[in-house]
Amino acid sequence: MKGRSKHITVYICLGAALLLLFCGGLLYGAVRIPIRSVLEILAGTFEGRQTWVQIVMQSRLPQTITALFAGASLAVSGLLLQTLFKNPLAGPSILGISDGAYLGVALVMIYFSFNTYLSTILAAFVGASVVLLIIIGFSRKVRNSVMLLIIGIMVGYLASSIISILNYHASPDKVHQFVLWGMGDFTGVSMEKLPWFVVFAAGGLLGSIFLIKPLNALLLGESYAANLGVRVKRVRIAILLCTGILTAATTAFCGPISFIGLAVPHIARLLLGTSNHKQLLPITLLAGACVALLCNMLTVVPGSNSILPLNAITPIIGAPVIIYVIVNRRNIQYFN
Amino acid sequence: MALLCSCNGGSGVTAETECFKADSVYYAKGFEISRFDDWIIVNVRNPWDTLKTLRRYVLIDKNKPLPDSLPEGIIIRTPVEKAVFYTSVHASMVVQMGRIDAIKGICEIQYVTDSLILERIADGRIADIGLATAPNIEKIIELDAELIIASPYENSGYGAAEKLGIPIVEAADYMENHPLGRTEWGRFYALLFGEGARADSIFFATRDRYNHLKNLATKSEKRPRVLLERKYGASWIIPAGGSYIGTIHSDAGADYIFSDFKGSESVHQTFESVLDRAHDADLWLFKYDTKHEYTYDILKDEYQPYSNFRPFKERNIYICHTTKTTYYDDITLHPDRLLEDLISIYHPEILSGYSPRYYVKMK
Amino acid sequence: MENQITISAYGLAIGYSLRSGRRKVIHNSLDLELQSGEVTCLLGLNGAGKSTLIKTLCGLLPPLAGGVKVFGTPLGSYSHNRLSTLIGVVLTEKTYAGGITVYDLVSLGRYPHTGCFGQLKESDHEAISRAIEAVGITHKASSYVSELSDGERQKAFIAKVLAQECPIIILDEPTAFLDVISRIEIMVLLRKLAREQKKSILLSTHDLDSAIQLGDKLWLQERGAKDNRSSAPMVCGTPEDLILSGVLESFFSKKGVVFDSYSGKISPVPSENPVGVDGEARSAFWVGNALKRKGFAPTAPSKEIISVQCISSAEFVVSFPDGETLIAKSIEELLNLFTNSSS
Repeated sequence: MKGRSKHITVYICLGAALLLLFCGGLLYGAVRIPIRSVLEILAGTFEGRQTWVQIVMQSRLPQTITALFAGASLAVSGLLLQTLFKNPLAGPSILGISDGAYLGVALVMIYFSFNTYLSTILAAFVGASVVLLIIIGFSRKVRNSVMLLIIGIMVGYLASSIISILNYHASPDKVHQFVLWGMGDFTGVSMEKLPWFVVFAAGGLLGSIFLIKPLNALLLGESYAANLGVRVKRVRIAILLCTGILTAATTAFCGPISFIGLAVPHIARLLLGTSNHKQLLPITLLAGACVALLCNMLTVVPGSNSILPLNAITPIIGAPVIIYVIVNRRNIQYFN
Repeated sequence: MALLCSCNGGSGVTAETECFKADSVYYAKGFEISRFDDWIIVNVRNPWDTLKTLRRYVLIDKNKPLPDSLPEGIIIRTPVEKAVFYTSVHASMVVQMGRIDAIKGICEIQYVTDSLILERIADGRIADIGLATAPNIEKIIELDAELIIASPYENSGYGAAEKLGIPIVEAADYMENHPLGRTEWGRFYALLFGEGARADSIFFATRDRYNHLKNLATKSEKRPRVLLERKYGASWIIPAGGSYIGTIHSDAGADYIFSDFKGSESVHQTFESVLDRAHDADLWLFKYDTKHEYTYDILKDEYQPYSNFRPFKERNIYICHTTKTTYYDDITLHPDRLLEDLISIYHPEILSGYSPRYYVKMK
Repeated sequence: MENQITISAYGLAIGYSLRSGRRKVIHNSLDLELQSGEVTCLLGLNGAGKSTLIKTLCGLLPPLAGGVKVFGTPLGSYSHNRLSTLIGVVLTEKTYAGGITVYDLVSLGRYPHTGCFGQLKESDHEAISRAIEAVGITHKASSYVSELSDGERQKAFIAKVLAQECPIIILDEPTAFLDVISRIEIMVLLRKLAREQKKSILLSTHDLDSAIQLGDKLWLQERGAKDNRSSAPMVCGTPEDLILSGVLESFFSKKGVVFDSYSGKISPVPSENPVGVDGEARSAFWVGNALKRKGFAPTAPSKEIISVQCISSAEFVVSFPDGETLIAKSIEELLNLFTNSSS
């Protein structure tokens, strides 16, 4: 089938890109370390500067793995929401879940003045979970998915306004810290904390794989899906839970990261051509990882002393994709 | 830079021949004082475009009648008796020159550390004006304030306060890179309250003390290599060599590792760059303001790779809590004290028996 | 094999629950039976509640009173999965399946039969191919659904329900977008399924012709009564019985419309202008059709009225009451004579 060979090509290309970008993340950074040295460090046979070993093993390696899982998590999360709400402009930030995480961190950082690692993570998780529970609660009462989307947006606005109030009254120092957290950052997860993040991300991703079948049915709308045997309310909750875990974990460990959840599902659809989640979900996962790894590398500007914030780079990749999709929507099959 | 011009004595002193003498301003780059017969002109330079003037203030004695022809600028009748301060640091400066009675209102009283001011806030003699970004205009009117002293930000106005008709002094001292430069602004503020001479003598005392300490420190042969601040998010914000922080640490006799970063703007560096360059620093100093006190465990928990730095391994980290100490007030009023603190860390042999005010050794 | 009752409803009230706790009742007490091996056509004017009835019968909407039984067991007691193997639907709702291929769409019909990842076995593939072939869109199997015409899309959804392999198939206006030929194709296909595989098929339609010709039973749904008072019940029966008993006629006797139980057609109310038509049967029939369109009422010829004698399909003799006769060589000419004489 000609479709299948196209799919295989996409898999192979993305897989290769992923491998390349992962290596890139280990080889490229603000400090110039020769390729050979990096390889020796990874193999454990390096005899040179200890700082290089520390840089590769304690900074670049966890950073790259974090970026991989964060990108995959956000992208899959976005895909789940776009299918559930039948809205191609839905993303993890739209339901207010990342705003909830943001609010949690704001409260702890600014109001309570706590800044330990654990407190930030917990705050983000709790904040995201609270919003998620609110959304799930509403989803039992609200039949229409569009209504749920609007509720999510409003909850997000509410969280944002509380954050504004906190910012307003906070000292410049605290605001600065908070703003820096809001820039998004893959470097904050050290090797010893990494397993926690990976567990949550992998859990969410695994859960989403089990949702492939009902997601496809949901493309037909909730009536058809119900007729095919889908327990629509339960599936909705399952989707929200998966999305919630993925978004909460990523926001907790990396801060809020924009655009990946929104744009990568579109990139995947454009590459594949089909909206069939059997291929779309894994490709979205891979593409999300690739985009995040790329953005992570782009934060370090070669030759400059300075670095760029992550959330300044993700729109550079994400926005053109969205604009392209909107402008060309007549010719794009999944829009019609 | 003192210029003297002879005044025509006797008859024939016309309006055109005004006598002026420029005051020497030693460290501050942001303002100039020029004295005339009937007024004092203070030019505050634009800190973001140093060729331009941000404001010109014309200080005229209250007891003298207003001259017929006034120069351009914001007219302030001195000495000011009722002033409102957007920042507590400036209020502290005024307390230092003995004019606490002129302080009628302060913004953001939660940052006030001066006990005398706190006392007056408690019994209502000094009012709380609210947020510096959104001060309580009605209160300012109610206090019948003659003057507002505020910190300027680039391209931002003062909102409704501008329409009050009360002169606003744009206190750009925080943009000064030299520690003494910030302190020197007190001489300008003092003129507003008629305490010019007193402020001058306080300033000179501080300057002399500072320079004395600096000489002691720079005489010492060894200069410990010093790492500053921490990683926030993805970047380690490194103060530049020419900034306030860079200057004061160098003056304390340290070899600040990133002093080659020119200018005064901080640079965002990756963790790996800092690790590569500064992993074998002798000492590490940073500031924090969380409720809990930092320890080696907490620091390591925050980001495990911090433990690779030599100061971490050898337990040579010093920390300063910015709100529990009078750090922010003192960097403007008493840079010599901060210098002393730093010298006690970098060259402990110079100051024996000194107990640190700001930086303590981390546990 | 004897036909069995597949879906039955007694005392069924259909409608919606509104937010304020009130209910909008569309129909109050319906007794319905659907039989296997038959095609049942649901007819009713717009707003009569056909879609509501369909959704209630297939379990998508809860009944307001009474119950629905499937194979004798209450609908609610079936598990979701079991029910999806019993009833398959084709609806008029908007879907977002534009981005998948026709094959993928039809393969969704196998959902109740596949495992938790939706893996398709050989038997599934066969069912899908059969379904696609049955509706006649094999040449479009690899196209994206968004690339199909409205008619092809409709067929694809019908193929999906065929792939679902349920004994009961319920369709909401399945022939709405289809051209004349496709319409007949689908109706013939549905007939075949009913006859050969003993499926029970219920479809709502506006296509009276096909319903009368190919439907085994008709359900006539009256518009629901206002204010929740009891409404006229639905009438069910074979098309011919309903026609001959005059039920169909009275069902359609709204203003300006009449059902002609001779021709089986609905037409505007005929005028009072009689014109006699006689002669060769087939031509006479079509002359009558043309005259009706022009506002005349064809009837038996007589000397008092204008009459048309059809000699052949190309020769018509028009006799006027005053004795004049004219000859027309075509219906168009004939009609021109009429309009000229009346002006």
